[in-house]
Amino acid sequence: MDKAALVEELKQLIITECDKEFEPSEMDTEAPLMNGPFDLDSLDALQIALAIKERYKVRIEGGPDGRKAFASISALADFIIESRSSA
Amino acid sequence: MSKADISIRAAGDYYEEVADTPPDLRTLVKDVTGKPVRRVGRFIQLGLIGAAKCVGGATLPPETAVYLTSRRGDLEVTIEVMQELFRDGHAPKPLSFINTVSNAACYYVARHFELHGRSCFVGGGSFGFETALDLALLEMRAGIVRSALVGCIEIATDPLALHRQRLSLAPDAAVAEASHWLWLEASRAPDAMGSVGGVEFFTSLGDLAAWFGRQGVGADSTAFSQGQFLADGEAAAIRRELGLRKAFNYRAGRGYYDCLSGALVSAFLRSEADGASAVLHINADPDGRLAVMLARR
Repeated sequence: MDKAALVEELKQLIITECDKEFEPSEMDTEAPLMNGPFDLDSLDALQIALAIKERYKVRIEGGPDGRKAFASISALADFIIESRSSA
Repeated sequence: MSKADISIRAAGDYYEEVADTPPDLRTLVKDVTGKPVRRVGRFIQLGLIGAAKCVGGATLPPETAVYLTSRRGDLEVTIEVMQELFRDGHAPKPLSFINTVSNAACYYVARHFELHGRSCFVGGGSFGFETALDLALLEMRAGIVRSALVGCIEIATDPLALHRQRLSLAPDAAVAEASHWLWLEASRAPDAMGSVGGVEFFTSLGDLAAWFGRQGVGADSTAFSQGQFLADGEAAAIRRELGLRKAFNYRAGRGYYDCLSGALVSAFLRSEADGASAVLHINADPDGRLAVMLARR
């Protein structure tokens, strides 16, 4: 799975699922997803988690896994790639 | 204005006939409320637009209560969730699921105006707006609530042909979507647009006539207004019994939606209404009950 392509897909997924008006090019892939410039909350996280489960068949559990996955867009991409390769 | 009357500080509406596909409301929400609102569907968007048009540039007291009604609720998001669950066989999106709760619209209205008073979504069948207004008046007269937003929302859904079927309308019937709101205050505001005299429910014309006689509004200065579910024959009989010669028709030319009663007060206050200073609106339900709203300029 190509990480750069996945990061771009994830940006679009976040925009769509969270009803945000960002341009993908404006989104810092290393910025924290929660409590950061994206202004996302726990409902957004739930929405994103469900969309990722549907699209990539990767389940994001709460707790440490969730914190790791939602650290940034880049971290989310890593989490998906890692989970799919170990499945 | 009698002692029991509640002041109408403002009234505002959204009304649009839908000829093809229901319009995207995102831009209008932003224009009317001054900010984008995300994660909401057209039902909540309509609520925000109507409420913002009602309140305008005024600042609501933070303790203002919100009373909302809708016959169909957020049909659009409900259909989406039902299709995901039963047609597609997977879990609905969390945000869609949350918005199936009709009271979600109350939350967004309260959040927009920074309100922390009580909020309540009520049904009421054929008498949705009358029921919401009745509840607001009861709590205001009891001194529980001093300021209230009372509204109704009805949306149309795509495809329109199916929407008409759902509403038991003819294939060529005009349909509309609307959001009507009143801002009420328990105090006698000097700049009030008018007042609400009361909402009452009756099972007999005799009881209705007796109640009307006690209201202190003259038959000559009161316009009769026929609600959307009151049959023409019954309307004529009531009008004769009450001796109301003036009439106020706010329904002419409107497409169908369920909470038409919500349009009455605002339409009356903005009209000449044949010189009438009060309007008596009477609606009916399939069980033969009558709902009466009395409003004054």
